[in-house]
Amino acid sequence: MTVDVAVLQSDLSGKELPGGHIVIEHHEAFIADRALRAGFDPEGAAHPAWFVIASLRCMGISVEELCTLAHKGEGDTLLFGNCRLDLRQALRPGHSYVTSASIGEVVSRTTRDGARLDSMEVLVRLREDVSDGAEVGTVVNTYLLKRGEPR
Amino acid sequence: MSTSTVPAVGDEPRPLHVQEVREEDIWMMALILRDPNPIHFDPEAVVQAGLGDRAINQGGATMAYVMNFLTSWAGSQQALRQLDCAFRANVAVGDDVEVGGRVTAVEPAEDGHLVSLDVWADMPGGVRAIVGTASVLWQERCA
Repeated sequence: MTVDVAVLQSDLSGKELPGGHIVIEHHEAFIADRALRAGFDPEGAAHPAWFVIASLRCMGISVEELCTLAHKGEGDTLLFGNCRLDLRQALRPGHSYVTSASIGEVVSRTTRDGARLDSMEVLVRLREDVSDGAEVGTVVNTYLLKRGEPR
Repeated sequence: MSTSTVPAVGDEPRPLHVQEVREEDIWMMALILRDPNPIHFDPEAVVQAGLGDRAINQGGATMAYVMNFLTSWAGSQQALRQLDCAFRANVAVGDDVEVGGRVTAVEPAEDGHLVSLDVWADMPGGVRAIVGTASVLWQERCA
């Protein structure tokens, strides 16, 4: 049985997540550049996709655990609905960053095919992993759960 | 050697064409993203989810093509300031993707000009996978 949206909003909106920590390893940066068809950056910056990667790896809970919080059922499908980046400075391979994370708006609507579609924003802020490290950017990911019939 | 020209509203940078999204690239990104969602590597899971029968590219990876388009045009990986992408359709193994954009505003900034754009990523047949907005810092440089 699908959870009521009012319960989801009450349980999740504003909830602080543990956040985390990431080191952009040189080998992972190299492999990601090729998998993403990116060019070499002569100034040594990491691909900006690392903001997205950090936001997904460093919520402090896994996407699976986030799905559990959102009462994802067997017949529900998780989709990545939206991603918004605000960047202050480039990330760098070999460097370390810390994140804080929280759940923002939780809303529900009905799709054209009559399915219920719940959306949940997760805000992740990245800082340099040093004392009084500067904020380098924020990422807001919107996850969609298309509710379906249990298989 | 010449100095780059500041873009104008209405300019459309040269589109970026990504030929045939590769399965092994999706698998590598699943590992780097620590993304266990089976729609990225298990065709049976894709079928069960009603999303076709080919592994689905990560939204963040398709978004990265938009980043490539913007940063190659602006001349630096560090030029990107904002990017807001809505994922409208799935990109799957074997799909071609064409990324485009149009300048919507140009404002003076401390270090150059802040250039705003509408951006998109399309697949053959006109299916729009991503629609969004972006801003990049355009700095005077040698082109």
